[in-house]
Amino acid sequence: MAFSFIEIEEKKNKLVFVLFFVLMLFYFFIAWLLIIPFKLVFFSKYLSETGILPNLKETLLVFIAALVAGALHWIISTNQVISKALSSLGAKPLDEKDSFHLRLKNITEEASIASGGRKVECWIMPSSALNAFAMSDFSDRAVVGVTEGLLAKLNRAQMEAVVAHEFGHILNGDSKMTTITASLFGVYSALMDGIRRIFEGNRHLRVRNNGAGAMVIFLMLVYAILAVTKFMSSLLNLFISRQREFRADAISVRLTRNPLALAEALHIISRGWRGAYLSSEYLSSIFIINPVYSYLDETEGFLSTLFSTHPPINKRIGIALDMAHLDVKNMIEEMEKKHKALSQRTDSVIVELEEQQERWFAVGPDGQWQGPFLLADLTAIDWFKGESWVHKESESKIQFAWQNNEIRNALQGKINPDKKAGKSCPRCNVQLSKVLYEGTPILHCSSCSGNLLEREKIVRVLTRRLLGFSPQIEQMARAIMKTVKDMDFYKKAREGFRSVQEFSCPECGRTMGRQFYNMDYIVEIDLCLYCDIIWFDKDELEILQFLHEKYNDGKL
Amino acid sequence: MLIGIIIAVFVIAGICIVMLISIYNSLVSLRNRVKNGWAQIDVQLKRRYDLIPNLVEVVKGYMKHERETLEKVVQARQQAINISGKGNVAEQAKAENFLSQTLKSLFAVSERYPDLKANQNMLQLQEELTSTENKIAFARQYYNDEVMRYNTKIEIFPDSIIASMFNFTKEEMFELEDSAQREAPKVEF
Ligand SMILES: [Zn+2]
Ligand SMILES: [Zn+2]
Repeated sequence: MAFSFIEIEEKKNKLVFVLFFVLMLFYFFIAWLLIIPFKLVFFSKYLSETGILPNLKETLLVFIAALVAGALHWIISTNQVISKALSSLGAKPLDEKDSFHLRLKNITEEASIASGGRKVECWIMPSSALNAFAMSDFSDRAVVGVTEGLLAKLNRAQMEAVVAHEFGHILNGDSKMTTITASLFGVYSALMDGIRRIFEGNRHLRVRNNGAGAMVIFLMLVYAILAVTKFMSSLLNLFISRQREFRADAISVRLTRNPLALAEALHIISRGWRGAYLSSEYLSSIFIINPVYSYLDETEGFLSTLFSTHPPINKRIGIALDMAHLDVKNMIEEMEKKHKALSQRTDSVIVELEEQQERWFAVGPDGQWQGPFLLADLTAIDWFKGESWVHKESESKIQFAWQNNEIRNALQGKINPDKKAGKSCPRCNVQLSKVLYEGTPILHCSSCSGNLLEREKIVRVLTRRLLGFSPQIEQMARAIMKTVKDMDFYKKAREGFRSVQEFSCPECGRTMGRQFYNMDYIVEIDLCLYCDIIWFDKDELEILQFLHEKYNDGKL
Repeated sequence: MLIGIIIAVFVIAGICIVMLISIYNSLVSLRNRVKNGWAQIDVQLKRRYDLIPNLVEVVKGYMKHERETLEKVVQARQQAINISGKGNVAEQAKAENFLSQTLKSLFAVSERYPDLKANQNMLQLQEELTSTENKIAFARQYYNDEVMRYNTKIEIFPDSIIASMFNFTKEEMFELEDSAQREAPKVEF
């Protein structure tokens, strides 16, 4: 099949035109309707002269207003669409020191090569949900995102299938459509929230004076109209074809040539928590599966075709399986077999990370690149100056030596490059060492076996299942569960936030607060709210993992 | 009348020239895409040559009794390097496929060494090599698709005339030996 993705023409201009037209239509409609409450409230005296419906002159005025409002709205919401959406989703860039993230980075690069070199960024949503999304905008910036939960749950081939599916949306241009539509019409949800907040904040206004009373009625009417508009904008799902998911699945198979992995991935995704409340409702169309379970999605028929953004997941699995010449029963049996074979976990070995120091290349007096050198060796070379050209071993970006802070500081003798500023254990003051725990780098005390990690890394540790649990951990965890059942809520709350013994934060030196992780997992943690890092004493992290895992499997 | 004929001739000649230029341009861009596809493969092959010495270094300490497997990998790598850059795609494909085979058997043998499997460097190298192997497979997939398009195009009239005039010759595919592998181009160690 000779098919190149560069060849797919992205009908950018046509899309812009259609969307802008729809937007204008909306504004015209809203403004036209808004005239009615406006007249009712502020011009009720003249109502008999003008009539309640807008006349021709007013309609013309409305048209101009709609044009201006539409243009403003367009400019504001299509500017930096992706960055805004990413921050509203709480997505984070990849952490290249994390082995799961590194694998995802590789997979994205592989998909990029398979598609003939389309550059796509990869982001992570720090959530235990199972979902993935794709976005792209008019500047051809494209982003693929995956949740931590999915990253932990899928094997390499399955992850590849999901990433290739997301590439499918980007390559055939439909992610541009969904992204722009979401950003254009998501604004209504935000406006409605805003008005609701005004109501809640100013309830007393209604009784105080008549002017405010009119204002409240006006706002209520606006709110009602916005609600109608929001409903209308859900009609935009008409533009977002359910077929796009099938097409993206097809591209995924064409890129990876592995329909079975896609079917398995969809099966796993369909049976997990999809991440409702994770995103605003209007963003749901960018996801591989609707974050909110909807009956409409799982059915076929006129209504579903009109209003649903995602096709039935079982149908998608079925199509992928047909390509692999298998049926669902077969697949599930095979998956279980594979799962059993792979589920031997390693014992909790602490893998110490060698601190890889960055090495540098520099241009010598002969004009040739030399190196790589460690920072200490580099600054000791006699021909090396601030004006020398340098680049890191890991990067190709070339700069003057003085442009880099580390080198500048080393050259000025401000820091001794040999000495690494380490952090020490809050319990025993021994220097903490960097280790890889469930694929993510954390700090570990070799003397008391405590662990220090950033709060954002907790979701990684909790979703991943590389490490097994010793019988002691299991015992302790079960004991905790028993205590929780016996304790009443107030006791829990009282015990939960005591501060008995305080550690000082290894990062900033402030006092850390001692509390329970939460009311379900009564594991004591020490937390620095300022740095957002958590200290776990020996075994506490594993107990938390055990509780979380069993709770999620429904075996607690 | 004569003027009419002259104008007609000019118009037809003009159309021919425009067509010729557009066909020539499309051929050039196709050939560039093939070259770009090859460059993609080449980058990944080089990356694999670079990773293998590290792998051998890590594995050596653990696999005392598997000298033969290790030596095969080293030899296959050297052979592939020697052939690369000579422009013989078929020969190189053969050497690279052989290298893939030896790597696969090395990873199969490494399953027997649990200590090695837990080694952080080994895990990292395994991920890097798996990814490189996939990238080679995907780059080859893309390259072969492009070569097929290009080769078909230079055989079909009228492109074939221009192709032979300006010396556009057929390109070779980066083939795999067995067809079973073509079905599933990806390798997982
Ligand atoms: Zn300690
Ligand atoms: Zn702190």
